[in-house]
Amino acid sequence: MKDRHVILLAMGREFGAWKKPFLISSAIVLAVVAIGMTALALTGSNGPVTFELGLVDEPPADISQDVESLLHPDARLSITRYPSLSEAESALANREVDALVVGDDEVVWGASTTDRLADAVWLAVSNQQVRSTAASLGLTPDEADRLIFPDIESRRVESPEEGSVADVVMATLAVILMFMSILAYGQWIGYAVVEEKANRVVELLLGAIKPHQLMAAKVLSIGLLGLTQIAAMGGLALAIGLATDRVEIPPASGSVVVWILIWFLLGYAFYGSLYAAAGSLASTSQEAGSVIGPMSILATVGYVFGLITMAGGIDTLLLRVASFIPLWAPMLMPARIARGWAESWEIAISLGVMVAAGLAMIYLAGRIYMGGMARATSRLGWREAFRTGSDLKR
Amino acid sequence: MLRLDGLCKRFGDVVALDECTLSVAPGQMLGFLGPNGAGKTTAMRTIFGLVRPDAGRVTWEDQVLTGVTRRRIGYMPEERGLYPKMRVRKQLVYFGRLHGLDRPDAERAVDHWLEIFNLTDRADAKVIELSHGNQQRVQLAASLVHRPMLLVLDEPFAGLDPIAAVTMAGILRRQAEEGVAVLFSSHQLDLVEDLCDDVTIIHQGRVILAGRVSRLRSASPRRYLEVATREPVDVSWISAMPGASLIEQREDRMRLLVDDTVDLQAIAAAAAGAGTISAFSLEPPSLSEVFTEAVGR
Repeated sequence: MKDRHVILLAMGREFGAWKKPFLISSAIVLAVVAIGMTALALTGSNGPVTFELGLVDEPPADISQDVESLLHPDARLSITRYPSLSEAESALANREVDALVVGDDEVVWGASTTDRLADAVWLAVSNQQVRSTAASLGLTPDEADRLIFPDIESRRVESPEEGSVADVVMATLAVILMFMSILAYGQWIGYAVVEEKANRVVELLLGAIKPHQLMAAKVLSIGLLGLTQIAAMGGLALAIGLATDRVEIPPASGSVVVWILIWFLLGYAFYGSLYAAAGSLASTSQEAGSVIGPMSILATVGYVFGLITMAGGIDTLLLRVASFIPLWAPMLMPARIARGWAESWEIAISLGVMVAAGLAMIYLAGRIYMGGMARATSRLGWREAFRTGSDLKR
Repeated sequence: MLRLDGLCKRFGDVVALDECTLSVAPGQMLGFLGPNGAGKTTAMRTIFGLVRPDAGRVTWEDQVLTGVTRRRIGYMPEERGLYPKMRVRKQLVYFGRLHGLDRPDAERAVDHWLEIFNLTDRADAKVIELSHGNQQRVQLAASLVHRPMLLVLDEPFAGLDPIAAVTMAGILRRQAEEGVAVLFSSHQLDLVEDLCDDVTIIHQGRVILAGRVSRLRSASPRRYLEVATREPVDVSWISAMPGASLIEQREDRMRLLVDDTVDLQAIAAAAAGAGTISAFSLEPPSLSEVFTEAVGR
């Protein structure tokens, strides 16, 4: 029987064994996604924002058009006129209006005045004053507008250094997905290995299947289940988002998606092998936590770092160094790429290091796994398992 | 023929195997005996590449074992193990296919063995739901399902009730009759004596006795005299008999260890004087006694 037939056979058994937990966990995460997205759609408001502006003492006639033109196209402006300043201020205090324009030279802010509205109102009143002064100096309205909006040519010779908002969103999602996949599916691999050792079936299996085949079957099958679950989650979130107008498909994120996929595969191969090796060291399910837990802590460090990167917006030296270390590169480098921080040479070196580390990890984990599985009845250290595995491989 | 040739293995300061050599031919059933820690399991695990010997080699038909050859071996490890939550039939089909059978062949073989082991009605049960005895049967079925050329069974009778042990012994005997080479370890020496023509006894990693059971028994310089009387009798007269010593007495039955200087006529006369003799026989040691003599216990 060829290698791939044996691996496919063992993968088939893994799919059968993980079917129930996979369906249950998928149902839970899909329900959470569906409820979360639906709640967001129901509670969030996608309609235009309406600002309430109060006018007192004969403000300029076209002030409302000026303010509206300076606000976002989605924003609406509602005007209320007050006969006296005291009534207007009372309305502002009661949040019936968001700001006041008094005459042609005074603006009043209240608790509900946003920066966006304040900027637009102040600029509109200011422009009105410039126009008025220009008219008194004998300038035409067109000349006044040229004072307000001087003709300045602007152009860009290079693309912006920062990644687009869509790319940043994609990178944040990548960090979260990498962490989820490593933690959840890596642990599945670890516990699946421990289970085979703990119930001693591995001794029977190793008469017919080589350790590296058994390990490959676990990493591949659980990886495929994991990818399916993530794709289902993403697909459902996207479908609900599109159906409720909560999501726009990012326009220029193709390259980021490709990078995320590459790092996802490299990261999963690295951590999947690591978890399999760790699992092979335990001989009982009680010992499983103590060998698998530290792997999760390593992944968590990368996750926290990744999120800080996205939130902080600063490409620190520590972050740059960490993005070359294989334990964290799968989470940090795609995030740096998406933010436009990673130079081409950095990406190339990090990728090279990751590929080399992945291959080294598969080799080391294969030996450790072989050693660990051959000594099914005892808890082993990393070195001892590697020595035993290497001895058997000779 | 399976041959373990001069196997040596050390685990630190512990010598697990010391020039261990044995062979099993097709159709032969070899009992592999030894006290706990003698090296039986290590020798068996060497066959599957689970232990790498420091010296020596394992061959089948004079060829070093490969992965392909190993798939044609049926193995029952000392540490029993099956997937507890997997259904019996599905699990056996999986093991059959891992050993190279295609699905229809594996399914046919599994149905055959489920019937032999009287497990057909439990085919869809999970292993964990079975009784201990039935789990043992499934374990043996897992080693038989792919029609192995060699069976390597580590303590196959451990934990079985007498009826199940007899059933399993019958199955192993039939396998040997069909030309399968059978190597098994056991501490149930009476059963081994009934089942095997040949045994190999290992102690501290070294083979100390090997050969036909009948020859090993008769080669022993010791003989045992079994005397039975119609009623319990006084046995104080035995101490006066040169070359004889009482090793066991149960009511109306006594067992004496005698050497070649003993006067059987004198013992018969003394026993008759103490009570009415109903049985009087001189026998070579049983396999159990040969074993005890060999390992010095």
